[in-house]
Amino acid sequence: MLQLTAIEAGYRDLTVLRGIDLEVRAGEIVALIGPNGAGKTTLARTIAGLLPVRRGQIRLAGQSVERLPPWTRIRLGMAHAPEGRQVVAGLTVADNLRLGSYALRRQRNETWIGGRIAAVCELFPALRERMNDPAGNLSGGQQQMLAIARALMTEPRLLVLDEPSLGLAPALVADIFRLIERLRANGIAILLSEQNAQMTLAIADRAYVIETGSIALQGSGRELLGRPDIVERYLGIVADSTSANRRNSEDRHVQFVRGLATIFDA
Amino acid sequence: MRASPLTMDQFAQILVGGVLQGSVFAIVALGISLVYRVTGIINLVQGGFCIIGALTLYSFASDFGWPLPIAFLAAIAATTALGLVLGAATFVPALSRLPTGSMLMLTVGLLTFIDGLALVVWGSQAYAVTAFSGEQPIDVFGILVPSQGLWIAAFACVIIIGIWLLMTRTALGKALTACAENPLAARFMGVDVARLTLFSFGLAALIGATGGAVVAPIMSLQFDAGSFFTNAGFIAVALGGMSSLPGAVAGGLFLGVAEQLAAGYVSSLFAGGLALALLLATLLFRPQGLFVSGGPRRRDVREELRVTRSVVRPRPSSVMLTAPALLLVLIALPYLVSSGFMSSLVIMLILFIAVLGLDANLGQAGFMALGGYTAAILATDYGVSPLLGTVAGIAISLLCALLLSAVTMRLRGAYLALATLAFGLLVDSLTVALTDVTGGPSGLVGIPAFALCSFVFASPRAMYYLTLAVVVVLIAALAGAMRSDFGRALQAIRADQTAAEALGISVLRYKMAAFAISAVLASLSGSLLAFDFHFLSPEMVATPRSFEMIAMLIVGGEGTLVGGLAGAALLTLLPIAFQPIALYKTLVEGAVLILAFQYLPDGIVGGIWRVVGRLGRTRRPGALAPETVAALDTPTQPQRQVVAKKTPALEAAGLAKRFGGLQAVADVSFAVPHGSITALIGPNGAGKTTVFNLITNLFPADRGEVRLYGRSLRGLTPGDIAALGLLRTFQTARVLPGMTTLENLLAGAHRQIRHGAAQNMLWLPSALREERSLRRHGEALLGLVGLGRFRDVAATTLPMGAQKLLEVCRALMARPQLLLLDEPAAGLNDAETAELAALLCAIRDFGLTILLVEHNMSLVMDVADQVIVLDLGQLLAHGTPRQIQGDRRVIEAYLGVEAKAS
Repeated sequence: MLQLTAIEAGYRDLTVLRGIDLEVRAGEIVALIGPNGAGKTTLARTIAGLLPVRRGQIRLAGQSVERLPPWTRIRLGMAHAPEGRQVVAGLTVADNLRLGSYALRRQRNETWIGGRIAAVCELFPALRERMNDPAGNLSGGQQQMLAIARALMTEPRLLVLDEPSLGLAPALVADIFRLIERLRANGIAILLSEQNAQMTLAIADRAYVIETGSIALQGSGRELLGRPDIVERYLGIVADSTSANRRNSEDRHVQFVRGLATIFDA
Repeated sequence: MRASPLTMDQFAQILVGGVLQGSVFAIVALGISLVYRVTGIINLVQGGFCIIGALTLYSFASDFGWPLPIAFLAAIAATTALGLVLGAATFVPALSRLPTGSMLMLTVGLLTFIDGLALVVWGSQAYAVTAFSGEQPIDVFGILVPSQGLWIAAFACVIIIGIWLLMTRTALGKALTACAENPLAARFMGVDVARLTLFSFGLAALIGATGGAVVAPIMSLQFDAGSFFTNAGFIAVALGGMSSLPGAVAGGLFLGVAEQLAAGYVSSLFAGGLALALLLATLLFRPQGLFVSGGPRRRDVREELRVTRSVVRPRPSSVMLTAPALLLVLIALPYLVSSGFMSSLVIMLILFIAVLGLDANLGQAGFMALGGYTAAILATDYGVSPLLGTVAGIAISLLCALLLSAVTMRLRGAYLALATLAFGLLVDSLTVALTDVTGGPSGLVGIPAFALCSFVFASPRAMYYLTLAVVVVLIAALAGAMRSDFGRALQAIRADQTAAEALGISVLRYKMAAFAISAVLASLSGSLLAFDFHFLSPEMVATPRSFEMIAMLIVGGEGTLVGGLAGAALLTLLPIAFQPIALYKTLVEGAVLILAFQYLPDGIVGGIWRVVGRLGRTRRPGALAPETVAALDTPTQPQRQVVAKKTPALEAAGLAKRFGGLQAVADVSFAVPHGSITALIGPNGAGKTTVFNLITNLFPADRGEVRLYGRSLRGLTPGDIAALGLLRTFQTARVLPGMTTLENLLAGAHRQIRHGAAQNMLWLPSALREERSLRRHGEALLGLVGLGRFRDVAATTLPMGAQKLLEVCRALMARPQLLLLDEPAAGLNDAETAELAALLCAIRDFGLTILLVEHNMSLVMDVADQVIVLDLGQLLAHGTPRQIQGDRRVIEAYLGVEAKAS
């Protein structure tokens, strides 16, 4: 469904992503995990079309889209729930949902939009009660649901979720992840970008680990869950410190102490 | 002043007049508000579209002889087309590249361009358009309303209702709202923000054209009426609430009625002043507007897609070469040019003095007026020596500046700009209105020449050398200040105010200092202007002059000291060159401004430095001085004795914080022993960074207290806390944009600096020594941690790991007592993490205390003396790393109750 080949992208003077190869197939959940600043959000924006691609290809359902604007990509079946939810606080929940189908406004009529709203409310009953409330009054969890519901308005075939669990209580995160599994069952291809590696790897079919702009590792979710270095680094599970670098760092320690003394006591 | 009170009829007449005038203001305000809502930019071109609409109506109706309805529609169509072309060519593309301040100036450039276009096409004479329904006023319930008034009211209603329907009832309107509030979200949803921006710009032009065309019959049309419309419009918008469309309408009506009432009851001169006083009061006490209850804040799309540019600094060698050469040229110039040209050079230098102020603001000309008139009046009417008069002017300006900045410092961004603009306009109206004191519009004559001791600077050449000498002294002083900690602090505040505060930089004091310096220099400039011309009129020091000076600064190069000179030269001497074709002068000025803002973001001088830098010799990586390298290698210092202290470095007691429905932190208490490394760990969302933010008072805690070596931190600002020796880093590294790695590092040492701006301006040897020593230390530290090769590179282009390391080192430069590090290992690979571990231990062994938040468990195990575990905002466990490693509750918190430890 989605194929990235040798993607290089970034901001004006700064290249953030280098040589990214990534694939998401229909009916699978692909996890993208990595620390802060690794490039997850930059990648989401590049896939969406907000950032230009310097090198490489993006294919959506077999079609080359790296030169196409965001609205065309949406019409071809892509949808996004961006990092930090990004709901429009001043518009009502209903209007926010409508904004989700803005790219299709010429192809679809009011009846269809009404139908979509009903369909997403099926998945998120909590939103149904708050249709006319300004989105800014919703709690963090409800806003996250709104963001996902908004993305589903276009009946996408590819859904890109950027850190949906950020700042949410574990129970809520579990609900959202259950929903993501339901969406997979409906045949949607899902790219799930997360810092919360443990829960993500548990539901992912495949996963990529991104560090400083490149893919460091890939494998099935189960495989990566079993790897001790992943476990240690991303799951925060306490493990025996494999201080292979320990001896080197002791030399450096002495050097640093001396250096600090020289710099600051001089 | 009125002798007798007004009758009811007269009152009603004034009211009606006020509503009509207010309708016009409301129309202009609506256009400004619309563009502000969608882009966040105050569009000062709006008035220009009004006057073009009015003048094209004249041409189509009177010159071409078309029937009125056709001429009306054609005028609106033509002006809207012009608006769309200008918007597509300049405003929209610049929006994604330029910061807000430059965008504002771009609209000023556009307004100048439109003024110039009007001048070229229609000349400077006044035009009149016949009223749509004849000259006979209509009797409405005993009040005489000009027939055009009903047309104005009708169109105003149509426009207001139309816009309201658009924004609230259509999908397009909702998309426009989304663009205004959250352009990032809008783009993700496939909204073509660029196209919608152009649409709103064109729509604003349409509104302006309609307003101008319908109001044309009741006013005299001249090419420069655009500024009048714009002024009224933006005052109305500010009164009503900038991003509120109904507020803009209400503001316009309110302003119209208020002005007419003031004109009716007092005098028309005071009507203008009243408007400005109202504006200032609004900005100070209800900045969101009189009629708005406060709405959502706009998120700047440029913040999200952050533009990173390389930093341009002139090499010292280049400066050494060019400065004396330039000086020689300037000294020799009088002998090479005519006397007339020299007068222009004097003006150029005088304006350059005003622009040298580091904080170019929209009220600059107001201070010129204060200084100029004070000195001129004292010298002319009271025989005070010009020097003393100038000093008196400076004193008054300084007082006003300190007063103004004290009350406006709470304002940010656009509101602050508007407040300074309002101040400038207020001074404008006072200089015109206080005829007894200032000579009114005809100005003060007979101002003597500047004199020092017994030497009178009467000839242009004498004035030239005087101003040149003043300029040289000022540049030397300012250069001294800017290359020291003072300059870095100012740059840091402009780059990232929160990060600057976290380094202990007192943002308020520095902003006031910069503002005060600007005011002083503007005052000096105004005084010299008066003594040069022997004449001073309000026009010479009015608000258009402020715009001109900011344009000089931006065109010349904002980040450089001499940039203003290039800008001043261009904008002062260019009109001379165009004297023969004076008609085109304004047009060309406008075009130059637009092109410069769009394509020369660094200005002329900045661009030159950038090119020179590229052509320069092979870029050597920043190398450390040989002595430093040698010193780092030889073990000269004995092991430092670390003094043990009983008092814990940090104590937190009962901290709690709730955000809306979420209890982020609940009853957290812990102690960090002196000279230890304590790690704060916990799963995502446990509240770790919130605890940091509570400790540094980034936001206040609901409950609880924090003590630094026994001293309570309650009620202190983040800046105060940093000044006490508690330095922190941020989760996403906040390195200062626009500054090199070394400059970032040196900014950290702020709280240790002993020599202030004054000593640096005088280039005192002790101040120079301190700076040199500071640089040596900074370079040595960079070398020590392996960042030496990034020394002269823009800090924001460093890889994330290096940025985080830089942040730690920057905090270290402050010689803190306690370091709070937020995820210092994020983004580092294994080898770099080991380096960091060694560095942290060394910092501890050096005598500092560290509290760090981390996810990287091996780092925590290696370096921490004590580990504190948070989960869901509560303290879960604490102990040594070994103890925590074996604690079942901790393992379960990370994995969740169902999962098993691997």
